[in-house]
Amino acid sequence: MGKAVVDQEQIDAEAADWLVAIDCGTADRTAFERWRQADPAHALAFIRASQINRGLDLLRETGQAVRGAPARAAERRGDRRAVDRRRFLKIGAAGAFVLGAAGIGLSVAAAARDAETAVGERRRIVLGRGAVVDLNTDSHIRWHRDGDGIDIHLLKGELLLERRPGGVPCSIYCQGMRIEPLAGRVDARLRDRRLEVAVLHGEATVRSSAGASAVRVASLQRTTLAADTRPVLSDMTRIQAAAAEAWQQGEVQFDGEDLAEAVAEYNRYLSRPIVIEDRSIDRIRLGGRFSNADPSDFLKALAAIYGVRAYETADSIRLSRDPTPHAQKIFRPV
Amino acid sequence: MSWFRPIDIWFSEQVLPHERHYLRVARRWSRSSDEALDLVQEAYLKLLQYDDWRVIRDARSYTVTMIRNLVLQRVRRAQVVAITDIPTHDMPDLHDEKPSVFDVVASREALLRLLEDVERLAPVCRRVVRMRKFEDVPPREIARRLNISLSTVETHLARGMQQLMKMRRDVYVPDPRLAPEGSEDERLASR
Repeated sequence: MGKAVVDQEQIDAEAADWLVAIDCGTADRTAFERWRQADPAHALAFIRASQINRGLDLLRETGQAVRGAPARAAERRGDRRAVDRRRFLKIGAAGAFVLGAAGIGLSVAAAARDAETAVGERRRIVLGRGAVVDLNTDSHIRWHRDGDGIDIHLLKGELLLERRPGGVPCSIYCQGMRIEPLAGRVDARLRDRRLEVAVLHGEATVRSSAGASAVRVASLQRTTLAADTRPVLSDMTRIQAAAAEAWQQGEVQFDGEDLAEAVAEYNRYLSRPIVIEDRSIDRIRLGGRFSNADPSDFLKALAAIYGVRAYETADSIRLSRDPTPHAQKIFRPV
Repeated sequence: MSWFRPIDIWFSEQVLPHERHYLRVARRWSRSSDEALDLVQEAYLKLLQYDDWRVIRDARSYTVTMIRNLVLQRVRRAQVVAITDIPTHDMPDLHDEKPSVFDVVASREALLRLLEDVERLAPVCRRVVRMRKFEDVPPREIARRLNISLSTVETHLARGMQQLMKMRRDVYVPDPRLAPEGSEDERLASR
């Protein structure tokens, strides 16, 4: 056996040890970080081990791992094709196995009818054949089968529904408003009792209430639905469309928003919010793309371009242009 | 607090799902499957050390470009160049549209194979893995039911996980005695 193979087996063994220790609650975080930092091959092995772990979870969640299932008898008879087909049907579109890594929750519709995300969390749910929904930060959906289709109720936050041609039909409901996407990608965000809809690809019809007539929203168009108001459509530029789905890459994108709006958007993702101390900087306009999990680049850009300083407190990050002695006593600059 | 860094999540979601594709292009540009595996691994390790990973817009194309550059470096070092060795810039791979979640990998087969792999584990190890992962029994409860210590439960789980990792690697380490000529791409692609 070559040295490289032996080395890799050793690294795999260490990664497996860490994964199990974390699962059993016996891992020392500092020692783990030291190990992971020591070599990118360690980080890679840990990712691979986590994916196998996730695959095992998926087998449980989708009922694939149940012993004594009827499929087993067919398997013993050697009818592998029948077994495989049955399992494939059951698992639906679990293309997610490889995607479903670390950190980001992922489940298959058979396992749950209700899904929530915490602040800063994202989650992907395979609803059925050819239909996947991504949940953004601080969001909540509930869904159920309705005949041949799936009804999704957006209770809080934001979702992005991707539906393939021929995939199971889906309708999104939210406070009496309704979206029916044809094949494509539709982003829906509930904000202050209004539903913002952006069709990133394909098309959708929307209704602002049960009795209202349907309005067609084409690709790269968006609208805001509110009770008893006729929706007005507007076209999106490619940049605006990219901004609308930046969260899928764990990012926020700004394109001329003022600081107050940008901070409000950022705060959706942060457990420790950014607070504007100094109202004179509210109207600063900015652009750029930043990680939504870590605002440090955003804060650096504000400091470099506008001289806005960020001060950390235990429960917030405060922005001001005015580094008064008082502020410095209280806050530690980020 | 998550045990995964943002780069790990990005890597798992944006880079790894296209592994079959990387293996396929790497195989086209290299002389053997081993070399292809080596190239892909080297690209992964570089990506995991890349501080500016956040600026990468299309991880799949980026990884392919990285593999191509590694091939070029090797070709330069070897100084013996067959013209077909040199990947060109206008490879169609670089313009591929990103696949949707449904196009990504033959993961159903991967899950089935994983289930079969679990069945191939040593009996005690398999039992502990099944209890923990398939029946969702907490580790302490497994220790109690099997009348073993928690650390023995951990050892069985870790050995099981290690074996599963090894089985998955073995799938794409080619065995020339078994592989008829020209089928390596398929073998690589089918993992």
